[in-house]
Amino acid sequence: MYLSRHLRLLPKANIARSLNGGGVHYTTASSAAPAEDSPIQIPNRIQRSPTDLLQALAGTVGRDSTAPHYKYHDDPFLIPMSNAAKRTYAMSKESGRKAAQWIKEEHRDLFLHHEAQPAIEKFAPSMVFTEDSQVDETSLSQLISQGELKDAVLVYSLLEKKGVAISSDLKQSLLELVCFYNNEDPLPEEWIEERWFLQNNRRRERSGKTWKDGDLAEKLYSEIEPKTPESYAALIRGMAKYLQGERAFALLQEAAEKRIQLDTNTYNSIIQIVSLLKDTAEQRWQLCTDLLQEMSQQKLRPNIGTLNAVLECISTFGNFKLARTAALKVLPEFKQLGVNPSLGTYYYLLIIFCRERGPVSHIIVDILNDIGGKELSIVHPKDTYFFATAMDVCRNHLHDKSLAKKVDALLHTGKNYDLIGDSFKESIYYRNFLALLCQTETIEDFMQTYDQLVPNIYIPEPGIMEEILRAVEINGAVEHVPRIWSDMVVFDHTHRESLLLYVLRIMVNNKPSTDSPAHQQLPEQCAKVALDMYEKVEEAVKRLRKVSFTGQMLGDILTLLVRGDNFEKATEVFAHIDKNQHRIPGTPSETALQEFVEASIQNKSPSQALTALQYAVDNNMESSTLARRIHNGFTLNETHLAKLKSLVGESFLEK
Amino acid sequence: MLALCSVQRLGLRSLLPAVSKNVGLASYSSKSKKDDGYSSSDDEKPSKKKEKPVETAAQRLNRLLGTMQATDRLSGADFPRPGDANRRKREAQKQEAASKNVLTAAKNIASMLGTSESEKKQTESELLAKLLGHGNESAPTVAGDAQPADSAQAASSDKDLNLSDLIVGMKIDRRQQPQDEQTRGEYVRRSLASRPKPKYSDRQQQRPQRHIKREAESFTGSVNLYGGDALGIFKDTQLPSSTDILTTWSQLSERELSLHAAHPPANYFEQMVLWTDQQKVWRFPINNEQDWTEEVDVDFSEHIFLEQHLEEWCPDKGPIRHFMELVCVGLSKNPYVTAQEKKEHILWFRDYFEAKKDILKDLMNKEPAKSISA
Repeated sequence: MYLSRHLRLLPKANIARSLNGGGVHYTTASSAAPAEDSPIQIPNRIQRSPTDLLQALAGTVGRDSTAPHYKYHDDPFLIPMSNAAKRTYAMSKESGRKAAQWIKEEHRDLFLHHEAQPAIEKFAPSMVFTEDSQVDETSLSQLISQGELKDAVLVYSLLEKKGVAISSDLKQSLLELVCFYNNEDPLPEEWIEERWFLQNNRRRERSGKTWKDGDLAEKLYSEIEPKTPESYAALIRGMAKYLQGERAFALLQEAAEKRIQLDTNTYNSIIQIVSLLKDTAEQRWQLCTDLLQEMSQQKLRPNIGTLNAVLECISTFGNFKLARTAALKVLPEFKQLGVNPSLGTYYYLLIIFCRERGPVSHIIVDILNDIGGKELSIVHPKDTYFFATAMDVCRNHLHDKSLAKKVDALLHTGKNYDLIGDSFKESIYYRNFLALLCQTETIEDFMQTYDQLVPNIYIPEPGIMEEILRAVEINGAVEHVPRIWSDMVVFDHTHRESLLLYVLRIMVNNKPSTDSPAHQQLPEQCAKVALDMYEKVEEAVKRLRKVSFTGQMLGDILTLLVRGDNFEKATEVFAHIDKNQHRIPGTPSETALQEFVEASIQNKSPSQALTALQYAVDNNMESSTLARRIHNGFTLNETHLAKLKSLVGESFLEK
Repeated sequence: MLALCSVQRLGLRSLLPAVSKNVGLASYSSKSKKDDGYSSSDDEKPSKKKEKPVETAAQRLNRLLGTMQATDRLSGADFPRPGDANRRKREAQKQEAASKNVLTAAKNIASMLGTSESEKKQTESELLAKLLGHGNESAPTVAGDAQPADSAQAASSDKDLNLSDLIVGMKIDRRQQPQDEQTRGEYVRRSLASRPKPKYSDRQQQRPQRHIKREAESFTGSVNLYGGDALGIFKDTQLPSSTDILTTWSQLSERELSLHAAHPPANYFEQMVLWTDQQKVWRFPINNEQDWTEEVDVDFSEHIFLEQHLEEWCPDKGPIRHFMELVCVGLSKNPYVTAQEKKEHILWFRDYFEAKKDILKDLMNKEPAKSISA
């Protein structure tokens, strides 16, 4: 910035000289040159918007991956550590704001103090319209421009009751407002967290028709006489937006019959819902091209909305060959028209080319060549779908790590992160990213990324945790297990039996070697993990959670405790196994028992060893080797010998 | 006989259970032939005599089984489909069931043919080998041969072949040891392995997978996004860009679009940006006259130096002057009133004193000394 501004300020000759100077650094050249031969030039003032300075400052603050998000940092006690907590805390914070606002509205007479001069309108209590408010056209037009749907409709009905004539322009505006929101109050702009987490619940709603037939919008429309192109356009767009396909299309045809000139965006809205009107790919494509022809005849210039609408229509084709060829015809057409594709365009291309059952396509490479390193801004509502889908393609379609990294680099270019969408899409994005990396990267590299993302940016779901554990298992990287286990505890994954078994399996199967210094602490740590797990499960069982011990699990815990030299706890765990034999499904593995017996030999505890042996005999497990080991390991006294004999007979005496 | 003929026409699916059901009938027919001494269970002598018919009969059996196999294949129900392990498993089970049917049927036939255990096994394994190793050899080499007179019915056409005819002319090669002790599992496995690749008759199901392979092999790695042929609908590329005819709608959609890209603020600066956009805080650059719209053009001097409004009417000295100067000082320090209001305030006093002029004059005359001292 600094550099370029100085370059611009320099007289041309100077720039040329400083550029020709080769080795001379631009900044030194620019500071020296004006002093020599040209008079001081005061640069023209650059007009800044009120937020430019703030945005520049905000740009200097990067995302600190070790800190929680800004919205959580007011209270260190309330730093969320699971996805549910993230949502809950953010929403409660906003709830607090809502409550405050409710109080302010409810007791408006108490909040009369105005600190600011002139007063800030936003803090004034909002206007309340009732049946007997004094209203006129100006208040209606003000409400419409603020997008206050409910109040606008109320005021409109009041005006109508009073018999006040409403200008046709105002009526048209109201019609547009009602059509845009389908006569439902939108989520107020202010509830930014609610919008951020909204998608989680709304996923399924989008499928069906939600347009309110015969509601206010159509009443307003019928009142407008004679019908103007604007009224047609508003109703068509409203119906198309809320998926009332047939009627929207019928209106379009009616308008065409009456030779009413509509505009590009209205056609876009119809093209978007072609899939509702026709069933087969061929018919849809036919209708789509027909509509484009119509636009061309009416001399309407298509825009980015048209391009994306056409691609959306193509993406609904079942016949992917037709879809591909059609998409590749549409793109050059719009290129010729000078319509620059947006991220939404690329999103549609991805879903057209990279289908689950279709052939593999590397179109994302070309897309990234197209937009790599560019700073993008939102121009179409579907732009926010790109990143999540691109990562999904990288993981599930191509399984390509380097592509995923490119997508990630693009996401973190400039302000592109604004296009991630909402919390739901963000978590899909990171879910795919992490899952792909843990399958393709070395465990060390992966753990670096993991440390960066978890837990403040993304918290893995249990499924992803399993993938990570799998990667750890494959790499035999048992040294990461304690770390991952503590994360699992924090993220509340400890009641998933499959994950518990996985963790145990990794720790048992990868016996840490004592020679390497990195593994020095491991047996102890593993024992701690095992003990922690034992306590967690025990607690969970008391609380009637669904997880419960299996013999295998307890055997693994036992082994780990033994390896970690925690014989005391090991005896406790074994006592638990022994006591609850009938309740625990399965038995510990024989090696677990052997290791336990070895440990009891080392700790000179023959009674423990004999209990283990008894358990083995009771459960019909291999006992002779155990017996022999006990016989050789201890110098047994009479009672113990007698017990040994009663358990396995005399066989252990034979060598 | 007739029953068997019709059964034959029904194809394998119905045939196999039917064969096992009709064993009674079949055995009846073979018994009737037995009386004539043609039974295959007889010793070698008669069968040697009948060597030629036996040969053709065996071939015809092959042919029969070949057609059975063909119908089976054409039904298209039991080749493994790609990609779906579950389905494959189910198919395998189905096939196992089918081959079980074949096995029982073969067993039944064998039990009809043979008397000794080894004979039965031999027949069974022959039948199965033929059945499962699809009728390549079962090509009707004998189709052109003149059919023996004793099987006149069968001679009419291939389709009219029937089991009992074949069985009648059956020869058993006793010299050969019962060659295989294969388990059923092996049969199944072999049968699966040796099945021919499904023909193109069922393109519909096969196409996607085939396509994947082709595409993946021939794929060059790059999609030329903009290089293809254009649709050619919009020929005039210089069209004027059309403006949205709905102003309110476009405002609303623009607002919604910006909300799509709005995130919870990530630091205090962003928080400030948000508040600034919502007009909850004053805007940069800092200016403490912000939003002071009504007095934009008013100089500060008009607020401070208010004596100018006194010059026209106020006496130069005396209590009224004194009072009014104090009023001016007070007003000049008041930031909450506009300059215009200040002026009006002063002029109100002017009118007031004007109205009370007489009273004031009286008072001044009465107590000149007091007013001066004040």
